[in-house]
Amino acid sequence: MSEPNTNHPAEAELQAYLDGELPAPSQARVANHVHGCLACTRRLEQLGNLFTLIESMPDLALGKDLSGEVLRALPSDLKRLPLLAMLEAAAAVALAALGLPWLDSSGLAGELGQALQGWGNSWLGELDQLIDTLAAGLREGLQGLATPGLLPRLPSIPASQLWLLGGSAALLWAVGNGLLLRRSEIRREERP
Amino acid sequence: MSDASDAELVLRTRSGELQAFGELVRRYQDSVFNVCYRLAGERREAEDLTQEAFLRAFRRLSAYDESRPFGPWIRRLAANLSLNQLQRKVPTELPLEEEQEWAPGHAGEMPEPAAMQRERVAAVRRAIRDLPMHYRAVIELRHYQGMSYAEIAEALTMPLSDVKSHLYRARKQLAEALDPDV
Repeated sequence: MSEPNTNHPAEAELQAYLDGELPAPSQARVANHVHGCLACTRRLEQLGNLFTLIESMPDLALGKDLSGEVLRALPSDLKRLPLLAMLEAAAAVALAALGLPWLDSSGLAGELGQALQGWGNSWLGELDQLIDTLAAGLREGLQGLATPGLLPRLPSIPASQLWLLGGSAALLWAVGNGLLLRRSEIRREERP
Repeated sequence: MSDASDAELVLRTRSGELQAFGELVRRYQDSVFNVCYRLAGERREAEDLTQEAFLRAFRRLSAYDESRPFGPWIRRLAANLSLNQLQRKVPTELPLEEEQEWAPGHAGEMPEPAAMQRERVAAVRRAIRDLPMHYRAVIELRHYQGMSYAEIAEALTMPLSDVKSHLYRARKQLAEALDPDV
C-alpha cells in the first residue's frame, strides 16, 4: 500500500469482484488494486459487511404444517398424475384390443353368449313358473299374470356384438379415466 | 417416509403416492415460506404463496430432474411465482401487527446484544421490503439462493446488464437504509 493508485474500480465493479463475477483478468486487476489501496480496501470491507448483514438474517418460522392444506388443495384431476392416467388408459385399450379378438377367435365369446343366454332364460323360466304358480292361487285380478310366457327370453348375442360391447365399455372407461377409482383414492388420501 | 431421500419421494409422488409429496412439503415449507416472505413482506400473503408454490411444483414434477437437489428447484420456483404474483398487485401498506413482529418493542426485557440483534434484523427486513420489486428479486436470488448473475438473468428473463444494475442499485439503497457509513 505504498504507492497511491487513483485508478479506483467503480462501485459496481467492486460488487462484481466480491461476487466473483468479473472475468479473470479484471478480477486479478481489481485484486491487485485493492491490495495497494487503503480506500478501496475500506470500501470492499464495507461491502462485505453489507453482504454479511443481508445473508445473516435468520429464517422466520412458518409455525404450522401446510402439507395437509396443500394436499387438499390439489385439484382432483391432478391427484392422479397424467403419466399414471395415460398408462391406465393405454392398458385398458390394449386389453380391449388384445383380449376381445382372442375371445372371439377362440370361440369362447360364442360359448359365453350361449351360456349367458341359457342361464338367463332358465332363470326367467323358473321365475315365470313361480309367478304362474302364485297367480294360479289368486283370484281373477291376478289371472293375467298366470299366462305362461309373460316374461321375454334373452336373444342370442353374436360374438361380433359382444366384441363391440366390450370395446365400447373399455373405451368409455379409458375416456372417463376410472372416475370411480379416482374418487375412492381421493377419499382415502383425505383421511387424517 | 421421513428417511426417504428427496429423489425417492419425488418418484413415489410421480407414481401416485400423495403422502410422499406431503413429506416433501413438510421438509421444504419453512425455506419456501422464507423466500415468499422476503419477497412479499407479509406473513399471510407469504403463506398463500408458499401453498401455491407447492401446488405448482406438483403440476411440474414431471419436468423436475431428480438427479439435482429439490430444495433449490422449489425455492427458485417459489421466487418466480412470488414475483409474478406480486408484480400484478397494487402495493399496500403492511398491517400493523406484522410490523410489530419486527419492532423492537420488548428490547427492555432482553439482554442488550440480543435486543440490538433483533433491532438489526428488523431493520434489514424493513430495508429489503422497501426495495422495488425487481431489486428485491435480485437480492433474493443472489444473496439467499446463491445464484450467479447469468442464472438470475435466466430466472428473471432479463438482460445480464439489468441484473448487474439492479443489484448495484439495490445494494446501494440497502447500504443507505441500514448504515450511513456503509
